Amino acid sequence: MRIFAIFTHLFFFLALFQVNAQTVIIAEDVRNDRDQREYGMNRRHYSHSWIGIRFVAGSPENQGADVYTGRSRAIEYGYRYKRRFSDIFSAGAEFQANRYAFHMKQSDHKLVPDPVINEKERLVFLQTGLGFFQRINVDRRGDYIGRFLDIGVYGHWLPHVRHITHDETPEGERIRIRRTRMDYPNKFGYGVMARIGINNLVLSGRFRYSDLFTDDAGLPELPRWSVGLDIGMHPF
Amino acid sequence: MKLFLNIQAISFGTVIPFILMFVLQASLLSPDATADEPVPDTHRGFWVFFTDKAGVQFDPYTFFDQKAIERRLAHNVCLYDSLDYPVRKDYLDSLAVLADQPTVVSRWLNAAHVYTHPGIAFDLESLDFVKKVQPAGIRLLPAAYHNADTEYVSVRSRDRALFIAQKEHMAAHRFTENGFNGEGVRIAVFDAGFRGVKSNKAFRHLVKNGQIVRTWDFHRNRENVFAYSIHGTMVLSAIAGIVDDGPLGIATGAEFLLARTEIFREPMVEEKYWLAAMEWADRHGADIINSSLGYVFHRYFPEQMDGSTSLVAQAAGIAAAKGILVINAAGNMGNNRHWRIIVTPADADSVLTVGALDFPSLIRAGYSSTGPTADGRMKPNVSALGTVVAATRNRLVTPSGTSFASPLVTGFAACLWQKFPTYSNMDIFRAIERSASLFPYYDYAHGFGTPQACYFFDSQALFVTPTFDLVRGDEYIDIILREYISMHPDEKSRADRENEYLYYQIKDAGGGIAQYFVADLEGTNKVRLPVHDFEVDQQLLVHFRGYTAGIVID
Repeated sequence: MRIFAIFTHLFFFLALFQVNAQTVIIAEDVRNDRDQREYGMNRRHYSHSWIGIRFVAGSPENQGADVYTGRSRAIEYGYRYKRRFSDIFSAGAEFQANRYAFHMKQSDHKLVPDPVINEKERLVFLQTGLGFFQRINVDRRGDYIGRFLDIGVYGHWLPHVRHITHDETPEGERIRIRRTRMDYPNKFGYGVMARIGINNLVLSGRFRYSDLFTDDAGLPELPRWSVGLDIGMHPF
Repeated sequence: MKLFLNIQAISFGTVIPFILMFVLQASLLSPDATADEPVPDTHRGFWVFFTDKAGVQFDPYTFFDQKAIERRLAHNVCLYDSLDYPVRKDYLDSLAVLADQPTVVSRWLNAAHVYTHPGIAFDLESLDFVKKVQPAGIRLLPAAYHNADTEYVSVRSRDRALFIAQKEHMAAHRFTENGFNGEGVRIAVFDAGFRGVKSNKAFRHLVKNGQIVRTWDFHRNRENVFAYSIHGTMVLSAIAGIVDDGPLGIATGAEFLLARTEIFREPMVEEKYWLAAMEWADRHGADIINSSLGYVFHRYFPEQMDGSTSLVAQAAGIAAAKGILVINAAGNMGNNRHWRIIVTPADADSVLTVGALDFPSLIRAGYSSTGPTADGRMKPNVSALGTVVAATRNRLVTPSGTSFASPLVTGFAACLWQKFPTYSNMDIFRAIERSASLFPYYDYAHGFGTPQACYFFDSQALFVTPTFDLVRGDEYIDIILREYISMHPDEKSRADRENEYLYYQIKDAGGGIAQYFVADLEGTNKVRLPVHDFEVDQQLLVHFRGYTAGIVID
């Protein structure tokens, strides 16, 4: 009974409200439109996310760390802030998170992460970190990213590393082994990066100065170069 | 460390799509790349403006088309305007020694567009005959969205209401039933290409009757414009197309100059083509220019949309001074929170800027760019439906965008000019504004509203009876409609439905609009606004069903 009373009151309230209501379809405050002058693709402040893919490039420094360069790649997501100083110069900082997988070549010389020959094997590094860059823009442009060159540095934390192998027993049984919490990867890394971009599309390259493995592990270093493409998630 | 770069080893099967995207975008963003004349990577486009035209010879009777001369004489425009004089040949020859051959020479701007190395370009500025050098290169967007295509040659039943509305929301039957179809009016259409115009029977009457007077592809420097893109085809159909079910546009008797001024469907192009096409259209006697294109953030900032910064806005002003009515789409940046406002050259004072209305609600489509201009002037001037039934190469589609609102108004203007042949371009401009559904009320979303042909035929349309009262109380201002709004708008026609909306705005003491609103009063007859929401000396201006009234808050 009490519920019925509540609904009855609600019904009459809504009916009364509707009778006196207007539905505002467009409401524009023109004064606010003129205040947003600091934020934009070619204004003082701008930020956007991006996605990218990079491939291992180059050879390992020592024998025993050969990888399949095509399959070994990083999938990356990031968020970038850019501060404009002039029509030509900007600088910024970015958050990066990536999954970097090295697919190991199986040969008699193989040493990373161990000499055991498997059917397939990969080391996967989950990394997150920060980067700082200096941007040089060319061409006159409006509120637009345009053509640019970035040079910068980055530092990564590697919270999680996986070693995955695929094998087949003499009986034909397929075995996939996944190892984590190894003691040989370094927890932190750093390097330099460069990018050439035309608005949303960016060719990027990185060189890792730090070693992926601890000195105690004594493992040869995996290739340090990677090159790829980023796509800026901002208007074309 | 020993480093080796082994890029060849990268899996190209994986990266090829990315590389193709990059190459494609690189080519799109390279304003200097032309199919015919490759330009060195180090070269960039520049506008070189000259100091004078001293000593040049000019004969308007050999230079202009007869129709262009007639237009000038009719509108008292001087035949010997120095703006039409050619650029000095000795200047161009001297320029060619230091830079590449000019790709575009603008008489109106007394300038030449050249490709050269940036270092050389700025050296040009020191020449005695060079006034200034300005970097060129721009990206231009056709103001269109694509909705679902139909594969039917005739109008589908579900598009039938739209097919009728695209003419009747302007009461265009008043033109057609009185025999006005734009005959004798020459319209220049600037677009990305007119693919299918020669083959689609929607344009057969234009081809058969020789109504397409001239064409020019400014990118390839040749006559064929009937390829590349269907954007111009759809725009042309909204002006003058005819299908089995009837006309798509209302100016089916007009003549046309078709100019291809941009390169791709989603093109990257320079404003040089637009400028050159403007002078070409003037030379060949265009009365009206329809441009469903706009220049936006790739080159400019919103605060530069002041009608005088961009070269195209300047050129549009010159065209208007020569008696041409320039009609431009407002742009589709309404949903872009960093831009929003109208694009250039729609920002020019003498350009009739057309915003887009949603169908069937007949209020501003979300994508339609809004005013005011950066310097606070009212734009858009008028609005029309932004979604239309349009013809492509071999079928009918229902695209959306201010691209298609603009040609509807262009067709309207052509019929109006046929009815009032002695009117000047600015007379037509003002008549279109006066005829619009909200006039004298306006806002920055709809301008003066939708042009109405009945304004020019029905004497009753000039009489307005009050439709509401404004009652000022101590705490509230009440807007009380004299007629209760029906709760069943579906039973009403589309035009009546537009009339159901209440438009109101708050103006500052200086006269600028501070806030504006559109409200649906379905099921009520009163709006109550608190007095404390207003500042002293602000004005409340209200429009409902053709009647506008205001009250000053003291």
